[in-house]
Amino acid sequence: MFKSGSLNLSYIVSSEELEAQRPLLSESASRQQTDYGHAPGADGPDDRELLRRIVAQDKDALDTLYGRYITAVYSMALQMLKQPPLAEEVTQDVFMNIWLKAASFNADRGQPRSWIMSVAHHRVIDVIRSRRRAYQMTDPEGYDTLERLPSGEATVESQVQQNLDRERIMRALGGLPENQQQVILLAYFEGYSQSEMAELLSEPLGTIKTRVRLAMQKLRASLQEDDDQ
Amino acid sequence: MTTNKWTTQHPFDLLEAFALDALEPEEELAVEVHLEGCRVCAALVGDNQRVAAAIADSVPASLPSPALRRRLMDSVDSAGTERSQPSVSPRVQVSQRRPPRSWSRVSQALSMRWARVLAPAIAVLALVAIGISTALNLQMSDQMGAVQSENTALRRQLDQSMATTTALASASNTVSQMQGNLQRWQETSYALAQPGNQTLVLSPADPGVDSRGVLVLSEDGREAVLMASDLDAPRPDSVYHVWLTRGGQWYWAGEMDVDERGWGTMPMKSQDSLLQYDSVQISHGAGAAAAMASPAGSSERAAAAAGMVGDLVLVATLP
Repeated sequence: MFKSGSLNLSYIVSSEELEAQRPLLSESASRQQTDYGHAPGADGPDDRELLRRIVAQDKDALDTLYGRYITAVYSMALQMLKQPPLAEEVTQDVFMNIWLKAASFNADRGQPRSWIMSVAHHRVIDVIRSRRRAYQMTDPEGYDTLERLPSGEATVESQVQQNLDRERIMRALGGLPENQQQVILLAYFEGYSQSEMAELLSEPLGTIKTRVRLAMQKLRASLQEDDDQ
Repeated sequence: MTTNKWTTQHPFDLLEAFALDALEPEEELAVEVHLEGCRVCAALVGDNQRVAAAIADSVPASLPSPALRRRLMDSVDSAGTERSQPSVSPRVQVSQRRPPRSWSRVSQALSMRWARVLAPAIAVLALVAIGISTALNLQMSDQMGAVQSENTALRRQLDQSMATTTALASASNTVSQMQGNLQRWQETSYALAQPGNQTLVLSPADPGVDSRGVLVLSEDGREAVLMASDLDAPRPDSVYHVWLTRGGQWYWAGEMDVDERGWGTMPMKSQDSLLQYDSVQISHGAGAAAAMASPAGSSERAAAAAGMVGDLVLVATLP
């Protein structure tokens, strides 16, 4: 598959390719991180332990966490920001935030992986919104004409794991009605708030809020179903 | 919606959008405050953030330059001990909110009997208090005027700072864009200069138009540079898609950047050889996200179902 900076949900991975990768995927799934991140028993300390050690200023723990999450964080940043140098800068900010604010991780609020990706997404959204404001003030068309560059190659192992995760979420996203897919994509990848989406799509705010809630509830149910199987 | 409202009610209808970072700032702050004291909502947010993290898995895997790891560690070294204390969230720092003070116990403590005995004294004290209050109000009024003047000056300074920040952000984006362009042209030049390259000409799907294209293909077919000229400038709501076909099926290869003069370039790298495909095609139409959202039954949606989005512009048969 060719690398591209743009969001593509129409071409995922063909069923033949997935079947061909199935043995490798199974092997990878058994030793790679799950959706919940590295759990106790996986190779090396689990993510919670790493965060505890980061709080105690253990740089090796940060380095290990970086190795585990760099693909997920950078891929998301590149997808949303389109520019490799900017995506790298933001990725560095994200891991620096984790270094400085690991103590604010709250186990009541979910798993380390969810928290790390939430920190990353929030930072990327900040950049997208400030950039959108800046372009609106200087060049209203500029935002749409930003570079969309092909990215560097990821490792085979991370690509396989990514394909496995992609298959799962793509199936879940594909099960949503189109108008619910639309609000999820606009909110998550384009950084639109619910009010902005209502204006953009000329729909009542209440309608947008309902779509967001229903879409997230369906995705949650779909992913849970996968976990149970 | 106010912050106070969510100290007593669960903001259930905001939690999904909160996990997507799709709330307005004041709503987000209200949810953050509520989450500090509500484990039920905190657990629901955890579930929703797990879904949001899964959405991030839908993007293709990419890795940054190896130098990023070193830069991060250098930053950690220079940050030293400037670490924050435990905070309430990764998003915003919100101070702990105290519950509203209850005056019920105070009122219950005053019995009617004591109230009757003390009533004259309370009345005198009340008159004195009113007098003091009036004097203080006059003094406060003067101080308020001074504070308002100062506030106006500070707002002016803030506006100036915001304008400067916006200008700096714009300049930073321009630099990033230039760096991106430079990197792309370096990659393109390097690919074009390789010995053993093959060159294929892309012909217009409609013979009446002037659009032309060239595909420079490496010997093993794993690297290529696609260039096109005389294309229609893309509209704000459209992009140029690159497709590969094999056995009657379309495979999306990416979006090609096309400038307002109709010139487009797209470097391509793949683990598969391009020579395994039958043809390369360029179409012009809605972006991938927009295509998904287009009404069912529209022509673009039908094309997406068959594997291609937009109108076919250029095509070349691969060897």
